[in-house]
Parts: sequence; structure tokens; C-alpha cells
Amino acid sequence: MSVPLASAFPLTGTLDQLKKQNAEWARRMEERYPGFFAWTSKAQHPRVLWIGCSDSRVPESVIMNCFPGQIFTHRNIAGIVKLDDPNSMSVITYAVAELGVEHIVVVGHTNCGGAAVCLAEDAHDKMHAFNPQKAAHEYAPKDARETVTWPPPAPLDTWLADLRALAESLPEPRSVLELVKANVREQVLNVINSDVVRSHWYTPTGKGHLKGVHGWLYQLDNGLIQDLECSVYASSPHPFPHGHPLSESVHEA
Amino acid sequence: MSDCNHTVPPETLQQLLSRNRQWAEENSGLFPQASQTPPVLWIGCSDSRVPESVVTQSSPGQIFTTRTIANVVKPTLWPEHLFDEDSPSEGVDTNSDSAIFFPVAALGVHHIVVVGHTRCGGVAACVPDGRDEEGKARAFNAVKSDCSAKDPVEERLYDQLPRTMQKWLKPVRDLVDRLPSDTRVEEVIVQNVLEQVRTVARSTVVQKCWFEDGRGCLESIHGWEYDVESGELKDLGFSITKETPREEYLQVPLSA
Repeated sequence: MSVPLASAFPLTGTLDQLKKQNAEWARRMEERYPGFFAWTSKAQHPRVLWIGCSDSRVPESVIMNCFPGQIFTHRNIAGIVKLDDPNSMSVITYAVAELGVEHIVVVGHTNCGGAAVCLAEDAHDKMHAFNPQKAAHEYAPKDARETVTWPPPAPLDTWLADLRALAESLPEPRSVLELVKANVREQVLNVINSDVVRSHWYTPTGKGHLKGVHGWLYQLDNGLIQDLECSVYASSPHPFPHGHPLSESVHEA
Repeated sequence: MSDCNHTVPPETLQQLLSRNRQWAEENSGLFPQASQTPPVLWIGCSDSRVPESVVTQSSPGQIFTTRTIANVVKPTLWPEHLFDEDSPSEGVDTNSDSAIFFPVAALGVHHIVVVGHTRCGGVAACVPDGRDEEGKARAFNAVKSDCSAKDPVEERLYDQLPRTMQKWLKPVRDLVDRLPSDTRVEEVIVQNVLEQVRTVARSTVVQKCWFEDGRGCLESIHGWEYDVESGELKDLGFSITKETPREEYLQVPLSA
């Protein structure tokens, strides 16, 4: 069942509209799939953890055509995980060691503003990542405004510091697309270097059923997911053996 | 092709990817997608049963989203001098701080909804043993006994959680300690939502937007709860706007 699109609704009454749409959805779900809520309410059994961007255009369960209960989800600015970030590490730990997800997908997307702000003006696809009205030079003092050049205001400058370093390490000519892809690959490495994945795959007692960690790219121009083919599996040799200087993420603080 | 039963989770990643292809084809009118101008920021739980855009039938572009364990967020608070330095749980999390700052100051969302949900395992783990065993049992699905060393196990007790999860959930643990000792899990879930609404209201980005020179057009912050047994969103009737007297939420929790 593909999720029907909401028709564009006016800004006023937005929240009432969401509530109304939810009530309608809940009713139709119960009609079409009787017992669905009773069954999923007892426990969640997601097979997949999705780590992606908070961008409103990338709602994982909509674009993957999935029902509630199928995808455990962490979304933040630019889909970043950090080994010293209890927020993302808690999600990964819970998903792997407590829920037993089988796959983790790290999903970047085209036109990501978090990536674009890390690049110089001459990146050819940089300005596609910003809303022209919100990135305009003429603006009223209190207007919401997207920062186009580095550094963005705090706390974004701290949150995106590793991404900026990654951007500067890329060969010229640089682009948002290449940075997003490089970031996904980097986050895959961060995930497998997390305590929970490392102990699950490389020690006898670390808990979980995790089979693989994968990197994907969501394309805003056609709605399709592209597999970036940087998957690491339980059976893969660890790309960086423990103790190797690169076994920690190179940008770990 | 017939509508395959999507209530059955995809067995493989290939099946998942083929669902995406089907969706993209059926919704080709959406693409290419323009810049985002979402009116709403959703702060919710990572729980797989609460995908915000599915439960509200929202098309991509409507809801800017951050989802964390137990819908906790830890933004920079304003004014800083009210920060309780003795409470390590009040440490700032740059992750959720950024996820709130950007939609308010850069994208100009009008509303923030903090959405908890019934049967939240993250919250239940913060309720001590011996209290509301029924409520705790309803929030978990794993059975502790008869597990092999590698089987995933949902930890029911805060003290047995991995350290990183203890650190993340400390604000909820502290909240449980402040509430009456007979408070049930489901009430803690609700109180946690209200606490996060207050926290968001106290954040630097929101306070500056409303009272100083900060950017944004934020109107209100609301607490909601999703009922996993019915699929319905419930408005908890707790909202904070620019007009709400600041003393109602600008206080260090431990003084309450």
C-alpha cells in the first residue's frame, strides 16, 4: 500500500491538518488490516536501522514503502554518527544489541544543505542545496536564513566540523554529490567501529543479529535509492583491524 | 502486481529496495523535489512503530524530523546561567541541538511537536524494578532467560543499560526520581514529553527567536503522544508559545 500523498495544505491550521490526517489513517489502517495495531503494539521487530538526514524530503518509511514497525530510525543533520555522541550511539546500541536488527543502512541524499555548507562557492551543485529565498542576501533581520558559506552558526559549526574536514580532504573539483557519498562511506565505517557492532562481530559474546552495514544515496530528482556498494558484512574482514590507527574513525575527537 | 502484504517485513535488502522503486514509480509526480520549506519540526522516538510521515499521511517535504531514543533532546539552554552545573545529565548534545537550531533559524518552521508514544522501552527502562511491573512488561518484548550469549536482550533496568544509553537517558532517569514513587510507566512517558517541550522552549535558538535578535518564525511548541495500540496521535494539551510566561518553564528542573 503506497502512502497516499497529502494534498498541499495551508500553513494556518497545519497541526490540525496533521491530526485529521492521522485520525483518517488510523481508521483506514484498522479497516484494511484488522489487528495490525494490536499486533505491532505488543512489540517492535524492526529488521532494519535507518540512519539518515532530518531533511523533510527523506522520510524513510514513506520512500521505502514500509509499515510502522519495520524501520528503526535515527535522523539528524546530514545523517552523521560519532563514536563520542551518546545520541546516535544509543540508537545503534539499542537497535543492534536489544532489538536485534539485521541491517543498518546509512542514507545520504542529494542536495544536502549540511554537506553544501562545507564546500567552497565554486562547487558546481552547491546552490541547489539551498532554498533561494532563505539563502538570499536581502532579508529582514529575523528571517530564517540558511548559511551558504562556512562556517555556519553554532552549533552547526561543531556538528559539521568532521564533514568539513572530509570535504577539504576530497580531490578537486569538489561537489555536494561527491561529499555526500564520501560522508555515507565514512559513516558506515563509524557504525562498524562502534562498540556494539565491534563487540557483536568480533567477540564471542557481543549481542545481536546484525548481518551488514550499508551505504545508500537517496536521489531527490527521481525518488530512487542508489546502493553505494560500500557494504560491510559480519563475514567481511574488518576493513581496519582493531589497533590499527585507522580502526577509529579518522575524525574522532 | 497484487498489493503484496506489506505488513510482512521485507526479508532482504533487495526486497526493501524494490519497494522503493515501486514507490518512486507510483509517485513520479513528486519529482524532482524542490527545496524544502517544512512548516513543522517533529521530535520523536526512534521506535520503528512511529514513522511521522506515515502516521500523518504527509508527503515528503512537510515534516523536518529528528528521532532519538525516548524522544529526548539536549539543546543549548538559555539563559546559560540557569544551567545546573551539578547535573551531568544537562550536558548539551550537539546532535539534537543542531537538529533543533537548523529548522528554526535556517528553515523557519512554524511549529515544533514533541511526540512520545505508549509502550516506550527507553522510558520504561528508567522506571525502577518493583514499580509498575505490568507497565514495564508492556514496553518490552524480550525474555531474559534462555538467551544465548549473542541473542539481543532488551535491558529493563537502567543500571544494566550500556553506559552510552545510561548517559543518553539520564534526564528521563532524573525525571523519574522527581516524580512520585508510584508513577506508572505510561505517566512517565507523558511527563517526559512535557519535559522535552519545556527543554525545547528553553533552548537558545527558541528564546532568541522569541525574545532577542534570533532568526526564525516559530509560533509554538506542542506535546503529543502516539498510541501504538490504535495508531492515533493525541494532543496532550500542553503548548508553549512566545506568550507563555517564561517563569512557567524557565526553571532548573531540580528546583521543582
